Amino acid sequence: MDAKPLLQVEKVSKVFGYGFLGRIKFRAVDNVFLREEDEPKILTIAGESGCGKTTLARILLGLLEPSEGVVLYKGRDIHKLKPKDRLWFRREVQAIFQDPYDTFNPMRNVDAYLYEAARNLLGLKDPAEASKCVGEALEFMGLSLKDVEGKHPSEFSGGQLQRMSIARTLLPKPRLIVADEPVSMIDASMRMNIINIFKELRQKLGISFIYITHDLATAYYVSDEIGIMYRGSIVEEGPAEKVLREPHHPYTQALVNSLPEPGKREEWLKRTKASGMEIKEFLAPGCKYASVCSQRARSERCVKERPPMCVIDGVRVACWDYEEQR
Amino acid sequence: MRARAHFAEMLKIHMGMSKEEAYSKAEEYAESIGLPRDALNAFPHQLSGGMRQRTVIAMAVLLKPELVLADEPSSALDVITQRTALTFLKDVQRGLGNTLVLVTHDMGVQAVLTDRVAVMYAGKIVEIGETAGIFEKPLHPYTRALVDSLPRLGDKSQRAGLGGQPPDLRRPPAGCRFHPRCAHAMDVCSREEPQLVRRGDRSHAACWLYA
Repeated sequence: MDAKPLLQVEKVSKVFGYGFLGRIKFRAVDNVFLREEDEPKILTIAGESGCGKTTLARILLGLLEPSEGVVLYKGRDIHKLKPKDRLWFRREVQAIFQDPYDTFNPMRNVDAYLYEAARNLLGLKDPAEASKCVGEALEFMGLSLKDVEGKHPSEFSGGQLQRMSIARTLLPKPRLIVADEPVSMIDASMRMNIINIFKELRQKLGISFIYITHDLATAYYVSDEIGIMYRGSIVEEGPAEKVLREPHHPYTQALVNSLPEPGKREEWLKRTKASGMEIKEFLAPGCKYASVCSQRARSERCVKERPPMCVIDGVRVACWDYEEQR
Repeated sequence: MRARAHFAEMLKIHMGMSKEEAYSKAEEYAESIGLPRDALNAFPHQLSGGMRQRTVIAMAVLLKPELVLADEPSSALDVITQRTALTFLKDVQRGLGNTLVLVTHDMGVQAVLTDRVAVMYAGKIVEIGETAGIFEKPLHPYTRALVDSLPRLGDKSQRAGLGGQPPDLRRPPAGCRFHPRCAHAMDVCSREEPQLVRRGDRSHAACWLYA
């Protein structure tokens, strides 16, 4: 028998209101299916700002209820947990957010957060036990209790604060970490240090990651699987190596071609088409990418009907172009 | 305020045009640089991030400036929108024959858009050179660390970030400000500050390795 998947996202959508009194309804997350197997893996959700990545992350963390669909963690619906099980879920699934300066209250000592987490999530009442636990977590991140004790967030750099917030997530020995743009606020010279920590945590502690980002280069470097999101829908999903090296969906192709990299100057400077009105694309009845798509085979159907999920060589692609290959 | 009102305001103030004149001039101008009429008539919140940034760029070059200073013009945008906004900026720059000073932390953008790069560390310029040279043969150890840490599609080899922390600028390190994090640090580095010296044709680096 197959092992139960760690996380299953089934047909999840989130509807928000827009315009006057929120009368126009649009789907910020639209019909998303995802699956994270039991073995420790890094799954990236990549897409541009406003594509619904963060809304999806909040749904996965149980902070936001989906309008449709379910999220199963170890086979249990995370939005219908009893209070006792909610504590279990919070121990198992932890979050890292974008802005480390926002994570900590500037008026409080940073170690207070770590002790609080040890007390609330692990129920450690004994100070000696708690400080041992906190010390271990910090050590894993290359910090020590001495560096941190009695200090305010303003005394640290963004990179150090982000390490501390990762240390905090490690306290309850989680199985899954959802990291929403964890390095976008960090000095370029130190980004890779944080990214390497994710790889290390996966290998040494067996933690799975959902890495949410708009940065394809770090996504390629760190992830096993990747899902590309556009206007709330996953348009392509599969092993990162395949999706990013041989992209099928026209949107993924455009993303990969637009990545600014040394040595790509001539190609990069060629003109491209930009999308105009975001909300129109969210409300489009057919493929949301149809108005920008440069594919010659683009048909009437692209504009009118939602494209099917086609499976090509282990990669799922939502595009009418691949219908016959399904 | 609609986008066209911003254009008209600039034309009224700087060119002394009347309201009607300014509006028709704004439309004419938008057409000439390929900004859709939709964008001109929209309120800012109705435009996508990329279209908004293109509108802002169009506004910045309306009076045909000699110099455009763009501070992180694309850091809030995804790569496709970034590409449309920046190629637009580059086209405009070519058309007007002016100078563009781009301030950005995005090494990829520097590589594809600029002719020369100046690298700053802790308030000082540590290296200046032609873009291709900076990426192929970085001189300063800091520049090298930045280039080496850049992840690239199709290359999964281990990348290391720079160790240590950026210095506290209220009390910067003595001598070379980079020396506490530098793998090549020597005695002199903590005592005296290196000056920018010329290396090769058009490259300059401030490092004792080259003094």
